[in-house]
Amino acid sequence: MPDEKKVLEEGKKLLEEFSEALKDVPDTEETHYVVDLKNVTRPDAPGKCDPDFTKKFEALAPKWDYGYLKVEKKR
Amino acid sequence: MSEHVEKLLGKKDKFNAFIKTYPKEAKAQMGKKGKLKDKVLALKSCICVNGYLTSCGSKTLENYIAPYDSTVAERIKSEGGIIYAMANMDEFACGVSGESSFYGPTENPAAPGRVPGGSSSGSAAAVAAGYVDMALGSDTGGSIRNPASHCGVVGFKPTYGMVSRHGLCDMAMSLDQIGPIARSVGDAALLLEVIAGHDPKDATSLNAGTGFSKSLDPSLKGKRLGYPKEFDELIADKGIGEAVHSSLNRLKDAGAEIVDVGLPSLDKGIPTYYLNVYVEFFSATRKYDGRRYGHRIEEACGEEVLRRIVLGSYISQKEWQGKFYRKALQARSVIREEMMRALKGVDALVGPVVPSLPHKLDERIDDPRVLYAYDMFTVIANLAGVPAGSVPAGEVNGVPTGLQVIGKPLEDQKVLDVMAGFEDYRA
Repeated sequence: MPDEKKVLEEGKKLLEEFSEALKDVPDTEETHYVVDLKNVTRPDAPGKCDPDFTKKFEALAPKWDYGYLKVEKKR
Repeated sequence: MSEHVEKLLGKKDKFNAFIKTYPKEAKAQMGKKGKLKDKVLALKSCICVNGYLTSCGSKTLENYIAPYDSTVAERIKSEGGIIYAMANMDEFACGVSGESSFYGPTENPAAPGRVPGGSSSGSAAAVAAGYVDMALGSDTGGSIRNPASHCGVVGFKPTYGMVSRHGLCDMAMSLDQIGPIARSVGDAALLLEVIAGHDPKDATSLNAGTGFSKSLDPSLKGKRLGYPKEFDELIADKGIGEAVHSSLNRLKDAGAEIVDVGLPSLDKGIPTYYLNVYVEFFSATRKYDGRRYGHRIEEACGEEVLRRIVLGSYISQKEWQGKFYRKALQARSVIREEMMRALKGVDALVGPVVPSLPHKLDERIDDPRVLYAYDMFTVIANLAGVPAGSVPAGEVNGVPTGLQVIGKPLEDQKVLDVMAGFEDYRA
């Protein structure tokens, strides 16, 4: 298991190097996405449904109780 | 059973290219009509295939059997393609060498004893070894082109939005694209033709992309191709420099004109890319909390994945956002504008895929800076969202290397045409 604290401390040096390399970049607009993001809505009609999906989902779940996924509240 | 399919399904995986194979399911998919009839494929293990192990090369998802098909898997099946294997990969696509998989490293079939590149390591190795006809990889900063170059095969990253990402376990949502890896440009174009096109399940999907293989035109006569001079300053391996310049001569001999262009911020690509990736990857991995499926990622992952998570978390904090993340988003705008300027007036840019040859498998590299450097010529296409491909450009001391072709947004066809022209031309 890698040591999280060590990884962060070493990583901070990397971040400083990256920041230094970009220090001359002018203040300009930010590019988050290269395409326009639109709100997409599906047609108001029933979609395809896999009748076995719940079974597959149950097989993946760590805990399953009375037909529902049971999860820890907080860790 | 078709003799061809039978032959492929019977091959032993000597290079650890696959995480899991599905011969029974593959046989059941045989004989279906379509553009990919009886073509055998491997998919990178971060692309969901219903009923197949989609582990992302990580212990985190070692038991994750995808409960649905990604859009690309659905399209491959509907065109008669046979999905035979889930390919090995760097853990959660966080790697450039193919060494960081929980399932062990993949070996380069074209240069035994060396890494195949990554992160689509198994996909490229499987194609190079002749285990499959074609494969899918994903490319966030070069993860299709880098292994294609190292393994001597063709790899193509489409324009951002050309191929649906529905069912792809994302590494960095704003940069990821799924694309083909094949032994010829024609096969890569065919696979792209099948998987491209609008998908309402992906909010970034574009209504574009048809007819790539049918429209393939390998004529290079009169094509203007830009070569950014900054490439020469950053190529670390002399042999790669020679292979690239010999490729430029080959393009000229075939009738193309090589034009000098500039990408002055090429050296800012790596810091810009990684600062973006850290933040997006941190966000993408919050769903791997072990509550609904899999294990909690921080308790199961390797060092590079953990590095990206902890640094992403750190620079997402309000006090650090301006210094690191926002600056990187601004640098992305600068690089994108420079890329568009360089592409203005030319049909495509050409250059190296990687600055150095793949290292040896037993050569342990602990410094992330050394590994990140493999990405320096490929990240720019992802930051700008433009199409780019790698086509074999010969060997340096017996190790393959590729020529990269980069095009304008939505001009994927033109990039494939140049790649096909280069592939076809023999002096």
